[in-house]
Parts: sequence; C-alpha cells; structure tokens
Amino acid sequence: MPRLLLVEDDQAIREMMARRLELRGYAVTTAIDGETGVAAAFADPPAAILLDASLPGMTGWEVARTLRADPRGTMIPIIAVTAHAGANDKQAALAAGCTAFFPKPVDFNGLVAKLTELAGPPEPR
Amino acid sequence: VTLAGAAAIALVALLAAGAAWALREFRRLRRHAAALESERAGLLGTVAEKERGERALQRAVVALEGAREAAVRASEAKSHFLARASHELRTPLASLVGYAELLVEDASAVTRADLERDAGRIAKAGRQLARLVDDLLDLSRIDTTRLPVELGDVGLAAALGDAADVVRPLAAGNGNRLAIRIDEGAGTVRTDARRLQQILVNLLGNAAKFTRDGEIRVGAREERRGATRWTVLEVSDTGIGMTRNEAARAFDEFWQARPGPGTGAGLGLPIARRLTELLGGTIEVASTPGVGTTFTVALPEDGPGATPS
Repeated sequence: MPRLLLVEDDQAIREMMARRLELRGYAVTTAIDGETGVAAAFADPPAAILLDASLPGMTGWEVARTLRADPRGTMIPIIAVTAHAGANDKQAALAAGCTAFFPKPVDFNGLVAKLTELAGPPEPR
Repeated sequence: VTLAGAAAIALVALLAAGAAWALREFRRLRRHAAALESERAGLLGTVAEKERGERALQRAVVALEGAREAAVRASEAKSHFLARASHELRTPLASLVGYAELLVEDASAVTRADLERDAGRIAKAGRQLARLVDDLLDLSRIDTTRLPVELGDVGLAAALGDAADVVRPLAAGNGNRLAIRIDEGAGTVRTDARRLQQILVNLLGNAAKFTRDGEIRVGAREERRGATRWTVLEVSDTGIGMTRNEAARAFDEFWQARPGPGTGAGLGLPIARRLTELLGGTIEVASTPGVGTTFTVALPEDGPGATPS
C-alpha cells in the first residue's frame, strides 16, 4: 500500500484527509508543521507528500524548496493542497518544486487520480 | 561788427547748438535707458512667469504621479484583500466539504463516535464561515455605502454590561476575570448602540482570546478636549501583549500577531476601527509584550455631528 506523508497544521482537515485517504487504500503518516514534515520525509521517504502552504514556522513552499535542495528529497512527488487558490499561488507552488497543485476544498477524486499517477494506485482492504 | 564780436556770436551759437544737441542726446539716452529698463523688467517678468509655470507643471506631475501610485496601491490592496478573504473562506470550507463527503461516501466505515465528532466539525466550520461572511460584509458596507448610523442616547452602564455578557463565556473559558468600571460623569453617550456594542464585543473578544488566567477590564470616563466632551472607553487586558511593530499593524485587515486555531481571521480590530470612525471617534492601542494591551476608544459625547471632523 503506497505510503503518503500529509503535512497539514489544521487538525480537523488533517484528520479528515488522513481518514479519507486511508479508507481509499493509502497508508498515511502525518506531520503538523514544516520542520516535522521535512524530518519525516528524510527519515523515511514516502511515495508522495501532500503539502499545505500556510504552516506555522516554515511555510509549505519553504518545505518544498528544502526537500528539493537535498538528494533525499529531489524525487518525492509533492502535491500542494492549499487554501491559497490563485493562479499566482499555483505558480509559486510549482516554482518552489511542487509537482501538482490542488486548491481547498480539494477535489478528492481528482486528488486520488493524481496520487494514482504519482504514487501508485490505492490498495483498498 | 568787429571780428571779435562775430567770433563771440559764432561761439555762442555753437555753444547753444552744442547744448541743444547734448540735451536732445541726453533725453534720447534717457528714453532709451527707460525703454531698456522696461524691456528688462518685462523679460524678468517673463522668466518669473515661466518659472512659475514650470513649478506648477512640476507640482501637477508630482500630484499625478501620487494619484497614480495611490490608485495602484488601492488596486493592489483590493487584490490582496480578495486573496486573503478567499483563503480565509476556503479553510473552513475545506473542513465542511471534506467531512460532509466523508460521511456520504464512506458512511459504512463511520462509527457512531465518528459521526458525532465529524458532524460537530461540519457545524463548527459552518459557524466560522457565517461569522466570516458577516465580518466581510460589514467591512465592505462600511467602506462603500456608508453603514446607516442610528443615533440614540446610549446608557454606558447597560452598553458595557451587555458587551461583557457576550464575551464572559470566552473570557471565563480562558480563566479570566472580567471587571467593569464606569466613572461618575460618564452616564450616556449619543451614538449608535448596535455599533458601539459591536466595537466593545470585538475589543473584549480580542482581550479574552489573548489573555490566560488574567484580568480584562472595560471602563468608561468623560474627558474634555477643547470645547468637546468625549466619552472615553478603555478595554485592557493582562495578556500576551504585542511589540511596537505588531501594535502598529493591529488594525490591518487579516493581520494576526499570533495566528492559530480559534483566533479568527484578523477582521475584528479593523472593523472596530472603521465603526469607531463612522461614529466620529478615534481608536488607539498601547501594548507591552508579556504585560498586556489597552485599547482606547474616544467618542464625541454629543454624537458624530457635534464635532468638526
């Protein structure tokens, strides 16, 4: 079962996303801020990272740049999932090294399709 | 006639002719000098006029440039505001839509305990959205159509008491005491009761959010400044406080010194400021990190129209 790393500071959204992804058939590890997310990604690289932009401390885009600047992080697909939904926000996300961009509220089926492409298909139990 | 006589006559005639010529020449030169002088004055005038014109042109250019920059700033501020508003709306929406879809699509995997918590989160996100929409509408109404002001004689004891009642649960939840103090002489103020209530609730709510196990005080007193009597309202707390730079931004839209869950979208203080100005008053903040914050609202006691603004 592909394992995803979800970096999201909002508790309600983090728990909801993790449960929905698990119900679809992904294993999910969570991080509540950028620093923890980077450490988790380096310690045990996931199949893909779902990354919020507004995080306390390090921002999502700083997380993406940090990951891309390190050999352990260059290959991990990063999907930005953010309430910053403007066209320039998407550009900023891609410029920071994100692979894909989903505005909140997220199109969940679209997100699962993108995860299938980037991290492998879900494996429902 | 002797030769000498003739010579003398000739000399006199010569002298007379010379004098006449000298006089004519003197007059001509004087006229010429006067003409030159007037020409010089004219030229100087033209130069001065030209300089005045150039200065006026320069001033116009500077003014235009300023107006253009102000328009660009206003447009940028508007885009920035819309982007922030969109972000603030999308966060609770993400929670609301996500949990609703979870309950619909994965109903079979949802336990009784899940259901209660998830529905609770939907409700919470919905209420947060409703508050945000109210705040955004208030801001835009104040800015565009001028909110109607309904003046009345508002009793300060009742106004402060009502506002304190609204905030008391939040204040108590953070272990805070809430004290009201009304000085003698501060009886009533001619203002809009509903808007005053909104200002006080926003300021008290702010104090309650950023203070733990401390004290929140709200007070009213009368103050004379020149010929005008002012009702001065003070909301102070013993909370986390702000630095000078943070305090300077406290009234900026969407700005938060300490963003976090349950701190709101950063619209309470900008709304309080605009409402205060709408009521002809002023609002100020003084804060010390780790010591507390005091907001001071001064309203003209006889109503917004009573003071030259």
